[in-house]
Amino acid sequence: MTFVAAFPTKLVILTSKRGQYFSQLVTDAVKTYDSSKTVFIKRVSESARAVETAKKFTLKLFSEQTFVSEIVRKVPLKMFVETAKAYEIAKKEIIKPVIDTVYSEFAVAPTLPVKCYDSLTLSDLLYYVRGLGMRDSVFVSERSTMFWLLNFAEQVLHYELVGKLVTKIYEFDSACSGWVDRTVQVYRIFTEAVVASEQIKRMLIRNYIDLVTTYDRIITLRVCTRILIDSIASEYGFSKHYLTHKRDAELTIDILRKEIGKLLKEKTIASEFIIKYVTKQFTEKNVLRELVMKYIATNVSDLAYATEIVVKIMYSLAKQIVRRVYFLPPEYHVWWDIILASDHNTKVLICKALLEAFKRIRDKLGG
Amino acid sequence: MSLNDLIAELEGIIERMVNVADGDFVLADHTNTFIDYTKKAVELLQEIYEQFKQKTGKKLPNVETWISVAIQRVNMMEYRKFGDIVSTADHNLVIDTLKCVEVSLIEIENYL
Repeated sequence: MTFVAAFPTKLVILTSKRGQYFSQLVTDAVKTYDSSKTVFIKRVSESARAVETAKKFTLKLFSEQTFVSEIVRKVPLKMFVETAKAYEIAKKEIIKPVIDTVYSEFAVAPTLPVKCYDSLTLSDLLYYVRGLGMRDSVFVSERSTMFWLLNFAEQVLHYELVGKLVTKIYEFDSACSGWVDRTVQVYRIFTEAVVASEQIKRMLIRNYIDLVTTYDRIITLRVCTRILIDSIASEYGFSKHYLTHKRDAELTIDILRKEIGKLLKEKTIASEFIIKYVTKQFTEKNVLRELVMKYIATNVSDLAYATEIVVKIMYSLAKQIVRRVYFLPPEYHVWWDIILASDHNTKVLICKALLEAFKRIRDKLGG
Repeated sequence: MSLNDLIAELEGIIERMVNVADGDFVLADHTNTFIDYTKKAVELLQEIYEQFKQKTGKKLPNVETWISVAIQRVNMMEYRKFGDIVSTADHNLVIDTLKCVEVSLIEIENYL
């Protein structure tokens, strides 16, 4: 304002004929400049607020993404714990019938040790397989996290480069229009704005949105400053012409703002889509893995049942061992068997032995 | 029925039982005889346990459990007729039920 007030005033003294006219123009110019300054401050303030909003939004997005990542990481661990419980139960179910049979029958059937050994071996093998599954899950999770972080780092690097490029362009433009330096006051304001912009940029350098807003701010300042300089430098007057340029500039800025906002929105939508897609993929993988683990657990349960039924029954009173015979589903065809004549005859012996026991107890009861 | 009557019936059933050899026909009567015997044995076991409780005043939870299991298994048995397929369950149900009878008799005898 000092420049605008002093420089045209000198012109007014030197050109007495048009002094009054120029005084009016100077007054208009001062008013216009004050208005422009207000606009500058408003633009800078809006830009700062936009940057803050964008920063918060990006942090929120990052936070949500981290939260999703944590959930995805916890799901395999939860499944691991649940599967471990299922295997513990299944393992106990395998061992229990074998031990029960051994103790209740007062004898060990020849095949029991082998079956017991096989069951335990298979159980250990399943533990090993489950361990591999858990390791793979953790590995996948780690890899995904690293991949995501890598992408993020690349994105930051990319925008950092673009940011420098914009700054460079601005410096080039400034050099070309070096005569602006004579307008000390305007230059000071402009420099301050750029410095403020740089400070904000450094604060948010890891946020890709800051580049968009910084670019917006630089464009705003550059266009407005050029219009103002053109207005002042072009014969110190013609307020109407200046105002037309000002309106055009504001219109241009609004368009730029909308375009940048659109880009930002598209980026946000794309980011959310990527998050959802990654989450969906993780969910599908986990569901599939859970199904596989349930299938294995079911097989273990079936094995426990199968181990339970492939035993012989010892009758201590008759001192006889009788086989249980099975016709199982095809997957257990190794245990298919038929009722032999010896099985029938053994049952007859058992019936006779039990009859003797009945008689003996009847006698003890005094019946 | 008294214990003697039930034991007499068991003896009659055992007399109907025959030994078989490889290649013999599997008759429906073979299965039905074992079913008769098993049902009568469970009935006799219940009667013996009742008299045991009256005489000793004791209750044997294990015996009560085994009797309950034996009754359940007996109810699952099915008589066969000519032309029916004798399944493995027919064989297994008999020996499983008789096992319950045996362990019950052993425990009752230990307390007498």
